[in-house]
Amino acid sequence: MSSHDAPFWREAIDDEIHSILSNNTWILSDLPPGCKPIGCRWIFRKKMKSDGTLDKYKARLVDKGFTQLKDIDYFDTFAPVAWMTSIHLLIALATIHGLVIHQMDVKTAFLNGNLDEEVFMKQPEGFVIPGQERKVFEDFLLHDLYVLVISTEQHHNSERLKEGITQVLTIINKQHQPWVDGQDLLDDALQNKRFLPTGCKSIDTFLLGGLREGYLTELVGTSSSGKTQICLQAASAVAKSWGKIVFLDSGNSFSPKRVSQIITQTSDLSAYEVDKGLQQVMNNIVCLSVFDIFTLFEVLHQLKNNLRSQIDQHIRMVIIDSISSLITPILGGGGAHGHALMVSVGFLLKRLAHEHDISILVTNHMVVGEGGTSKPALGESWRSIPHVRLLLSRGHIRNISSMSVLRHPHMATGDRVEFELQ
Amino acid sequence: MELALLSMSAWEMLNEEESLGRITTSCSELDDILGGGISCKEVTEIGGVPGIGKTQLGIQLAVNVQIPMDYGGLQGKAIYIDTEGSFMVERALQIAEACFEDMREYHGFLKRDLQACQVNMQPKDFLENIFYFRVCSYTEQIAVVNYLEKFISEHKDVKVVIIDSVTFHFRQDFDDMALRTRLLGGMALKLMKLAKKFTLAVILLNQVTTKYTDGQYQLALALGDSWSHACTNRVILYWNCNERYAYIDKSPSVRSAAAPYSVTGRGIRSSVSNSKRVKMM
Repeated sequence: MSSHDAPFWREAIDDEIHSILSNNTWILSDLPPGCKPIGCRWIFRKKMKSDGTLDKYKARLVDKGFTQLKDIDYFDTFAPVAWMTSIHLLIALATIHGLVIHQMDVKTAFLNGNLDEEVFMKQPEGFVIPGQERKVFEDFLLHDLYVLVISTEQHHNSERLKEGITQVLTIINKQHQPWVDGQDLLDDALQNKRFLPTGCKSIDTFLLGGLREGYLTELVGTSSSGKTQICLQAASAVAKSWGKIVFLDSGNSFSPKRVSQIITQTSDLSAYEVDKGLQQVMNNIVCLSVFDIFTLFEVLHQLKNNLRSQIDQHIRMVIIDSISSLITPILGGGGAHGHALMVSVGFLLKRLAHEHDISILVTNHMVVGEGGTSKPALGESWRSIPHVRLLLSRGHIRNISSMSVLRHPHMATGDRVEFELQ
Repeated sequence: MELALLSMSAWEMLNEEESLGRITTSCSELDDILGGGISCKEVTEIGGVPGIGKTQLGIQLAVNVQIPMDYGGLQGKAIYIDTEGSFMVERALQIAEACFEDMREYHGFLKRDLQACQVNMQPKDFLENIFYFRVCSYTEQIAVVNYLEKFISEHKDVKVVIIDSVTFHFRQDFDDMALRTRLLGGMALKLMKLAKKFTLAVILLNQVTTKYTDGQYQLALALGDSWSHACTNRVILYWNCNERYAYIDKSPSVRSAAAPYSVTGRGIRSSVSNSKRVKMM
């Protein structure tokens, strides 16, 4: 620089470069094959005040965009600017209400935006980092967190950058479940998600092991087809050797007498041992009466918090008998809030099941559909919520019941099994 | 609202259940298949064709709940919600007198000389302890059910609520079936809550209707599948060769079984063919 304003221009250039670097606009990287870097140049301007005197020296680094082709290198150019009319409106409002206007200007505002595309730019003149003349700058804001993390490793000299990025990552990770890939999911499924017994061996074999933890299983059937019985049997079987059960009862159908009957029938200990063991097993089953959907939400939220803070560690199964009697009074009637509540309950249950390795069993009743055929209650919106849907029916011979698959992640719809209820 | 405070473990519930009384039906076979009688804390639905004795059973239970504890009863009061107008006071008085005579006979039979164990209830006292509500439309019915919670908290010794019949007002003139389902669902949950909260028995008497399934007409309880989950237990009364039978259709704790019974001048009793002494305890 040879003009006599050189120090001012130098200062303007340094200012601009400083803003660019502090905004982490680019990272230094190797040029990948096949990519063309675009050139850049400096633009200098003397900004004048309204009376003609000098205000300041401005320097701006721009890249030679004319080398880029639309739809190949970029998709749209959009620079959001306010309409003059809007500014007039704001000034008018301020004068009407006697407000003070404070006008601020953000320096290098454009650098705060995100760029979706990858752009390679040659290092600007005068700022070529010695030893890395060949490298080009890559625009910084990436959508891949892993690349972000890796790039911080490459910048050995920037401790603050690494700190900042680690902070950002911790905040993001707290907001949602950690990212997992297929391998992690498979490992989790094999190690953590076991099969809980239903109390009936034929059903267990039919369901390829039993009720899987992490799944929301629904039992559908007409009245007195055996839904509550299966719930009680499953509760007894799981309470015996797996862990705690939470039984949410909306129809006062939890019968401790029946549960004690089931437990004593299926154990082969001596009478004295059975009594002692009975108390222990029955203490594993916790029963709660729920008579409306909002109480159900409160209970589930409380359960979620307890599990998160590790108070109730040993809960393996949650049974809701019946969830349809809680949802039917709020469904319909023109408002969509009934459906919204139903779907929220479904999602809450599925999330509980997956995060804490719990198997959730709910029961649903049947209603008459078109043409006189029976179909499960709760409608179309509920159909896709449970992972597994099983249809129960009592045969003509009172003791033989059958169960068929309505929906299952890896069994065919229509598969049937017949079993005997105790 | 702590989870730990509201929930009970199954073991605690088992112990509590054994101390809950049951309401006898005055027919020993019927009591047997019910597991000892009508249990408190549960909603029992009783359905049958007209003339089979539903109202008779309802009145009998309203009287039997008042049997003093010394005689094995609950010594409680009854609420009778009448939707059809089938409650007859004279019949209730007749049944109360028969119950009173049975209690005196039992007292004399066992020859107890406990001073406290005296029959100081007169037949008319039985009528005083039945709170009678007459409802004439479905809105009134829902209003009464909503009011029951307040009423029962003021009259803590009510041990049975009988609704005769629960479906009558919902069968006629309902244009909006979805509304009917919602109202019934809400009412059912309220009744369940009442039964659990105040440890009383709720008895719903229901009518039958014909249903066309699989090419043939069958008798089914009114309001069908959407109402079917509103009760904990269901008993169906039917005719079989000129004899009245009761069948347990739905119950979480007892097996399905049938038992004969009869309706006599003294109320519900065991069927004439196996006449036994009326079971008191």
